[in-house]
Amino acid sequence: MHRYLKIHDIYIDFNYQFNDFFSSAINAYEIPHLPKNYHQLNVSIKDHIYDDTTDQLLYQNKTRHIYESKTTRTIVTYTNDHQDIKHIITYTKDYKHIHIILNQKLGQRLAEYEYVLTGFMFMEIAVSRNYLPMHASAFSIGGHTMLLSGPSKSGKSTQTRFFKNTFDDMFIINEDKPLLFLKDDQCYAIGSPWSGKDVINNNAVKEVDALFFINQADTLGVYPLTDKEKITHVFKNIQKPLYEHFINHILETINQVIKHVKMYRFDCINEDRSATYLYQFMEGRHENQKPLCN
Amino acid sequence: MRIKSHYVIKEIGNQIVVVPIEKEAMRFNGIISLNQTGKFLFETLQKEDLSKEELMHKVLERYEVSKAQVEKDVESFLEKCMEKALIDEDNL
Repeated sequence: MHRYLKIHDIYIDFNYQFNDFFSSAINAYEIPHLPKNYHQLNVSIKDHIYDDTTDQLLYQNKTRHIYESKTTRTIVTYTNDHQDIKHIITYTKDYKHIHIILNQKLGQRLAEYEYVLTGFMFMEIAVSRNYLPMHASAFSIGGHTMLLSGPSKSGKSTQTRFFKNTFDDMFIINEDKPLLFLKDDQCYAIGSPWSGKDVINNNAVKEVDALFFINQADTLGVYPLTDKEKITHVFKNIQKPLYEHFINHILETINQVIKHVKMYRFDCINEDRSATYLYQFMEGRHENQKPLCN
Repeated sequence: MRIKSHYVIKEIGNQIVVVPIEKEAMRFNGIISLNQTGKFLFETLQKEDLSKEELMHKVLERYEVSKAQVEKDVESFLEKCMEKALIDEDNL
C-alpha cells in the first residue's frame, strides 16, 4: 500500500504492507500530492535478513546492534536467542529516508511490528521537526482539551475509558501519543495515524488547556507540581531523541511547554467518577477553585 | 575517574538537568537534576580525569566552604553518579 500523508506540517511518502492497524483512520491524513520537503518511510518483508553492514558499530546489547556512518544509522534487532534477525531499520540522520525490513518469520505479528516500528520512526521524525510526542491520551470534552499522561500500565487507558463512559461529546485526538507543539505561546496537540493498540485518533489540532500526570491513589485529588516535578514527569513521558543536535530542540520545546501549559498530578481511582471529578476541576467547580480556562 | 561521554548539561527554566544522548540514551532512560555545585562537579569531571581528592581540591579552590562540607558534597555527588552508572569505570 502506498499513501501520501500530511500530519500537521509533516509530509510522509508511506509505503506499507498491512492495513490491520491503519485501516480507515489513515484516510483522514491522506493527500493527493507531496511537496518537496517530505520524509520517505518504507516497509518491506524478506525471507532472510542479514547483518552485512560495514558501518561502525555504535552500540550493542543482547538483542540490538546499532551502526552508523556519516549519514545513516542502522538498527539491527535480533531474536532473544540471537539466532535470527527480527528486523532492520536503516535511516538517514535527517530522517528523510527510512527503510524498515521485517523478517517473514515474524508471521502473524508482522502487521503489529510494522505498526509499532513505523510509529517509532514517525515519532523520531516528529522530534526532529520540533514536535514533542507525549505518552498521553489527548482528548476534548465540553470545550476543554486535556492530556492524561503516564507510562505504560499507569492507568491511562482505564481513565480514558471512564471519560468515554461518562461524556457523550468526548473527542479523542490521539489515545496514545499525541504530538505537542507551540505557536505564539500556546501549546497544541495533534493526532496522527499512530495511536496505540486501539488505534483511536483524529486528524485534529486542539489548544491544550491542561496536562495531568496520573497517579493511582485511594482518594481523588488534583495537585500542582513544582518546576522540577514538571520537568521530570514530562521527560519521563516523551520519546527522547538520541542526538545532541535534537536534544537542544526538544529541551527548548519542553521549556516552553512547561511555561505555557498548566500541569498537575491527578490522583485517580479505579472508578468512573474519576472522570467526573477531573471534568469538574477543569470547570473550576471544586471548592475555592477558579476555572482553568475561559 | 571521569563522567562517561554522551551526557549533556542543559538548563530548562531554572533547573539544571543532565541528559543522556547517543548510546547512553539507549541505556539510561531519565534525567538528573543538579544544583550549582553539582553542575560544577559534573562539568569538571566531564573535562578532566580526577581522583576524589583532586575533585575536592577543585571545589575548595572555587568555593569558600569547609573541607568537611566539601567532602560530604563530593561523596554525595559521586554516590549518585555511581548509582546511575555515569562514571567511566575504566578510570576508577
